[in-house]
Amino acid sequence: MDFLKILILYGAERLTDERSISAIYSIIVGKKSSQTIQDVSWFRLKKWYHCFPNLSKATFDESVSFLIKNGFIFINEKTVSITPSGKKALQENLKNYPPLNHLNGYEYFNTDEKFWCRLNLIVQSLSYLVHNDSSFYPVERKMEIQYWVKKWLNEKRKVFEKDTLFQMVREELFQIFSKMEKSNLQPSLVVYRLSGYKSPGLTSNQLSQALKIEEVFYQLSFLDHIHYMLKTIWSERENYPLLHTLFEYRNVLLTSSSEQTYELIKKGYSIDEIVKIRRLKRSTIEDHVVEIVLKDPTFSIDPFVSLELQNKLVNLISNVSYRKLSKLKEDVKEADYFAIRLVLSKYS
Amino acid sequence: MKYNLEQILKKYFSYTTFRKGQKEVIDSVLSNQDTLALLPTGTGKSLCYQLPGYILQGTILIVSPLLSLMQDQVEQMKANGEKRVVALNSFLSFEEKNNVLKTLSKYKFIYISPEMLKQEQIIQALQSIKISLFVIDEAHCISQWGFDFRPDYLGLGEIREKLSNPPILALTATARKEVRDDIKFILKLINPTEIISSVDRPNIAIVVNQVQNQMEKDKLLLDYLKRIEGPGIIYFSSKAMADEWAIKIKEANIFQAESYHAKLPQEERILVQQQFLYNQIDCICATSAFGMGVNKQNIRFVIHYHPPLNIESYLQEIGRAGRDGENSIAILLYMEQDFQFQKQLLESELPSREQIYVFSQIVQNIDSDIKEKVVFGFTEVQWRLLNYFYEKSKSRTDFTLNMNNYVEERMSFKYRKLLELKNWIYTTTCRREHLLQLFEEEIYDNKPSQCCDICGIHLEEYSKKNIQRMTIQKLDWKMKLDEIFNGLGDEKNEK
Repeated sequence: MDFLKILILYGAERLTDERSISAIYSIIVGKKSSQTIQDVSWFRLKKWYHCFPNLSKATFDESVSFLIKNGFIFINEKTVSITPSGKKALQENLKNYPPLNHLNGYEYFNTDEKFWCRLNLIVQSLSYLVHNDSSFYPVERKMEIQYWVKKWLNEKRKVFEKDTLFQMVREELFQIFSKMEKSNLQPSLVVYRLSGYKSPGLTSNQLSQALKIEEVFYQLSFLDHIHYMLKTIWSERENYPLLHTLFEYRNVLLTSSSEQTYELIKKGYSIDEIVKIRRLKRSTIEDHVVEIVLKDPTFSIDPFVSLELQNKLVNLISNVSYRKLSKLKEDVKEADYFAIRLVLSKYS
Repeated sequence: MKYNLEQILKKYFSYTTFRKGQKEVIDSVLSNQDTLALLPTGTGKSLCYQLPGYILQGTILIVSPLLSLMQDQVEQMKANGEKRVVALNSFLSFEEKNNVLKTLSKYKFIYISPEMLKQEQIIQALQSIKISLFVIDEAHCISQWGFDFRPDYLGLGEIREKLSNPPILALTATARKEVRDDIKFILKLINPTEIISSVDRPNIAIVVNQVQNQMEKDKLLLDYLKRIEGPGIIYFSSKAMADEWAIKIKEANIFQAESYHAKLPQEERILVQQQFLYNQIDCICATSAFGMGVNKQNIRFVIHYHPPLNIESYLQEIGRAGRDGENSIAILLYMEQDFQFQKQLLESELPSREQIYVFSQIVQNIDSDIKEKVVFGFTEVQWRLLNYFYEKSKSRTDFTLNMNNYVEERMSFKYRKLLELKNWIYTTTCRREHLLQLFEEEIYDNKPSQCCDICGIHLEEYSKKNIQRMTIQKLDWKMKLDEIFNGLGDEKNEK
């Protein structure tokens, strides 16, 4: 069983009897719907969000059929369920893989690929520049990346000589990779992918073979390492004056409509008032508030749910595994659906 | 006016001499003549319009049939330091396209796909700038006698008139007389200069081996690989087999092999191409997707595990060997069963009846900007073809009828081309002479000493000189980082 199947099984365990199998697919490819964003938060799957953005539905379906055929999962009318033997298989298989402690797709889905592509092209471009050779095939073909790197290099070269710049990139990379190694990660997973002067990097397939690990898991480990870099570079950005400029970091990313609602809340308007001002349905505004709670950990839900009710609900959700709203409401009758959604979003 | 072409060649391309045929083509282009040039693959066709670009006032407009090829050519020019180059195709977003169109006059070289030339907006933009040369790349696509007929090339003659009649340069690597006549007629060329080079590549020995079954074929391939010198390419018709063999060759430690086909993600294809170019790997197990835009000079062998679909493709593929002029070898492994397999493949190139039906059902609901891209389940060629016929048809029934008729006609033509290849495989006379006959070329007297399997060749001429194989070292990130940043290391060592 390759790691993709294990990952689907893992998702099935979390979402068992609650969501359909396609919810797992949406999480893995990182669908940008409020449903998926809510799912990853409520079911603690944030880390896996957008971990295989290019996974085809066909490949996914193949793995799902394998899991069904082996009796690890089954599919009800609307939901997926894990079987006892599926749970067992999951536990046994997970043991064979090192943990991916830094993977956090929910946090970095917008940043990771861009950062890697830019870094790769910058290193390649500089390595040709210092050899006074400006004719090379860029490893990155995306126009957007090429333009960005060109602009970045032009700006930096106004300040630094190309050799100095190259040396600085090298030192920052050496610093981050050394730190990475001390955190029990393997810098080789990233370094061997980089391309330099007349020395193209390895493909993920080649490197996974050299490391003797399956490619699917290699790709996740690579992402794990990239996320480690993003986290470290950002939190110690004074030590990475160049590398930290390769990505824009925005913690809160709201849809524009939710953003407007957020602005009104900050100004002190109540939900009913916002409904009137924006001429939207109450349920829409409630969706916005849930989205804000999910994306902004500093946002307080106290104005919307009494502390007493919050306590009751938190107690409940930490003791039961189900997340079905109707079922939760049966247990805490005085809560309305909005309150339950807010508490789930805030505390899961 | 007389130009010092060698000087310009040196300045912009850092070559000191022209290859065969190039100078004649450039001379003709510079004297504003319509030109039809047949130059074999690997002899620098693109230089024939790039160099005049540095002399002629105005823009060079190049029509190119395949998106991937176009991207490659643009990257290659940019890599050579030419920034005033752009590709107008469906890879551009709406915004990017508008930006390019607004600033069209700043580009010296504009690559464009034939279907883009059908858009009124594009024609208007092109009319507002001066086009000094209209290049038709892969011009054989214009002829239904060509192995790679693209109906949307047919309108190019009229496009030229709309662009106030710039001179035309029609380029192809392979075109027999009937195809050349078609090119001249459809593009309405006026007294064109014709520069026709031979399809013959004397430094490539030609070998065909017939085997009884797959097992024998596999054994023979392994034998060859153990004996002959790389780097080389092995062509397969199936992606899965290309993958399989790459692993097999790597594991047996015969070559550093990698597979290459359309299913690989783009970034991996770029890396594999580059690794091959810089000799990090020395054997590519490929489908026909590999080769265009690959400019590697020292390829020593091209092996066909499966035969291609026609003589023209065969010549293009073996033509990737020996561009440095050194001795190289082309080996085709053939068994009778291959023929059936190739027949099926040939059918899949054209849209099937089911695909035609599906297309007719979905086409009305497709937005025009998606229409420019290829919809899942169709190949690029199929998609363009279906759109071309759809736009020409009055009704859905009309479309289905026309399309089916066309497919039937093309199928029987392609089948004849396949039979021609089969005949050549079974020939008992000199293979080189047979090829030259097919292209109505004169047969020359002093054939190369290593000619073909029928004339007899010495395989020892191609045996491995270098049996030392790369071994996989332990991964060491510090070492690798040093290697990547070696420009700095060198300097330190010198001090």
